[in-house]
Amino acid sequence: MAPILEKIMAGKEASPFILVKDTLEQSGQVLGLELLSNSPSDHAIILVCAETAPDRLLPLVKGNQKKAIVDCYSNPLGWVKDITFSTTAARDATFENTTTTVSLTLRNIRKATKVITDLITSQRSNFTIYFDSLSQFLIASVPDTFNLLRSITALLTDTSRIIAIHHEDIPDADSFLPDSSSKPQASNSLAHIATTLITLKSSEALRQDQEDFKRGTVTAKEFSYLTVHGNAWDSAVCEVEHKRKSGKVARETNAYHQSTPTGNLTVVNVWDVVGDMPDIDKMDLEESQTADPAANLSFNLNLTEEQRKAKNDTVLPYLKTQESTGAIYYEPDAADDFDDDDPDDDLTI
Amino acid sequence: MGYASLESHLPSSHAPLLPPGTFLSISDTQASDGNFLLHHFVSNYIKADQNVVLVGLAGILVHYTMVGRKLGVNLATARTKGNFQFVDGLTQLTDYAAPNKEYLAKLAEPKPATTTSTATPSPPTTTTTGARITRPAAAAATPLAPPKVLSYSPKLVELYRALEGIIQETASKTKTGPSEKQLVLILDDLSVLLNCGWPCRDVLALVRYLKLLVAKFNGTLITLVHADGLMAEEVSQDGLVKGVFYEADYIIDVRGLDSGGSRDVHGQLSLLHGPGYLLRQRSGQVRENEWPALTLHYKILDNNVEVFAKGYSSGVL
Repeated sequence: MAPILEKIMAGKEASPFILVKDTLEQSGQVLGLELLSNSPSDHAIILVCAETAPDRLLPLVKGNQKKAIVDCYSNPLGWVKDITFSTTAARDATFENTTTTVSLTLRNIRKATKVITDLITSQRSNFTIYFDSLSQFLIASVPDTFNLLRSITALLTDTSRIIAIHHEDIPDADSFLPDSSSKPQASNSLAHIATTLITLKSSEALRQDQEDFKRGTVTAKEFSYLTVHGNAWDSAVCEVEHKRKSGKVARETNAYHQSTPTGNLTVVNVWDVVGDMPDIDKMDLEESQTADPAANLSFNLNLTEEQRKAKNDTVLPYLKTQESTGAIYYEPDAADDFDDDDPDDDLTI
Repeated sequence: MGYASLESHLPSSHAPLLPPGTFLSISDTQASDGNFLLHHFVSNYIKADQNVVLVGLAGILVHYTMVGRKLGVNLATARTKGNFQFVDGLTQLTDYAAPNKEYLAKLAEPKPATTTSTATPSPPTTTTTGARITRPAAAAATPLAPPKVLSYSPKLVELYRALEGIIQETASKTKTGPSEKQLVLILDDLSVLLNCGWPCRDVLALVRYLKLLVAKFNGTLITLVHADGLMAEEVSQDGLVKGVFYEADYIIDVRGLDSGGSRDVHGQLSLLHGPGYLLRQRSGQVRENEWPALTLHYKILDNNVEVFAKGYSSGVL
């Protein structure tokens, strides 16, 4: 059974909205770009760059699909009048031939929605749209970002999809308001609409958890925003939750591994990366696969046909009382002194 | 050279300077001030005869000059040469410090030849809503023009425009040689902007715009932000630190020792790989072990800072 992450990467499991949730400690950008690079060849790829410069992101998308770039990176709040941040890549003729670039500010997400949906319809084909950071949109406005996603979902065809990276640890626009605790968390709402949810964890973090589990203790962690084990290039752990069209949900913990920083990703079993796991999932799996408990005994617990028939025919002693309304049936023995009168009759209280 | 023991732990491609077009984010805490790292870079760039634009939001020029002297750089000379530009972001940043117009009108009266060595602004011709880089009248007696001052403006974009002007000016003045000089823009520190009331989102946008701006001028951006654990509960502080870490190419975190204070080790310094670094590794811009993530200890001495591996403090060996 191939890991579900591998199936998703190869396109064997259809998923209209793949959400990659990451944190400072383990970035999901590498996985996201790999998913994007595996898009079908007939797809138009739309890169919405909000956190990485387009010229840095584009070379990392392998594949010959037609690409369009929505640049929300160079002028997020509209502080510069024209984009003079042109890069050498943009001036390169081959870049210009294969890609259209649209610049956007993130001040008005509604306007941005219009621009993006227009760009999608102009492509006139199946598409994969990639958000390198939904968090930059969420920090502007949570409802408008959801509307943006809905508008794109309305344009999705059979194979088109959305791949989005979301940083769980960045506060969204609502968090800055005083009554933020009463509002639904954007993270949770996004998880609801996504058909595939991949949560990234660093391999070292999981190794630590396993160590703690083995020892039965929890190592005290000093406060830090990011540790030295963060963003190791060689591997990362992915918790995948994939909702199929049939309604079934597949939940697996997989991992990926790279042999060189610029090399390909291979999906592996999580214990190959983290080390032997005496973990609960594995133990549960073993339990559910245990054989019939009546198998290896020195006596016979099974019933023959006759015994089964006899068992079904036995009359249970108090069956009559079980079926009745609730009236009490009292059948006195020979030794009982049965008297129908009420014993409290002679009381004068 | 700044601190010799720190050199080997910094990116080596353009040592002793940082690679141009990158952003180094330094974070510190109340218990362990990260300021010493800024002095290191100021000293290195000036000794290498490159440009430094230092925006002092939390410190005054005198402080940097004194520390610079201990490290062997003369900031006053560098300022005359045009290599070092100090921007005063402390005295007039908020509207609390908005100059009293009547008082200024009096100042503008006779005796224009009086030297003004500190940043007293000349009478403004526009109101405080616009951005101004007030250049106090440099009388004939002073050889140096006083540092430029960032004045209050409700919108942070004005601050960006002011800095943009300063950087363009600095870069163009020193473009006489055959090759373009490297520039470093140092913001000390970002948390001040947050504390003065600008929203977290605007401060993060400022960082983004400055990062793109200095990249155009063959420069590097270095910022300092406070990242205490106690402040993490406050959404804007927390959002600022995380946002800056997501933007950064290199992250150095300065923190106190978990076990408490010590005479021989003043704190720990961690070189961290953020998402930006991972992406650069993926694209091949940094090689595999060029800048490994590790934690070191440091001790601040009078003229130097010693950086050493954990457990190798001179008090222990």
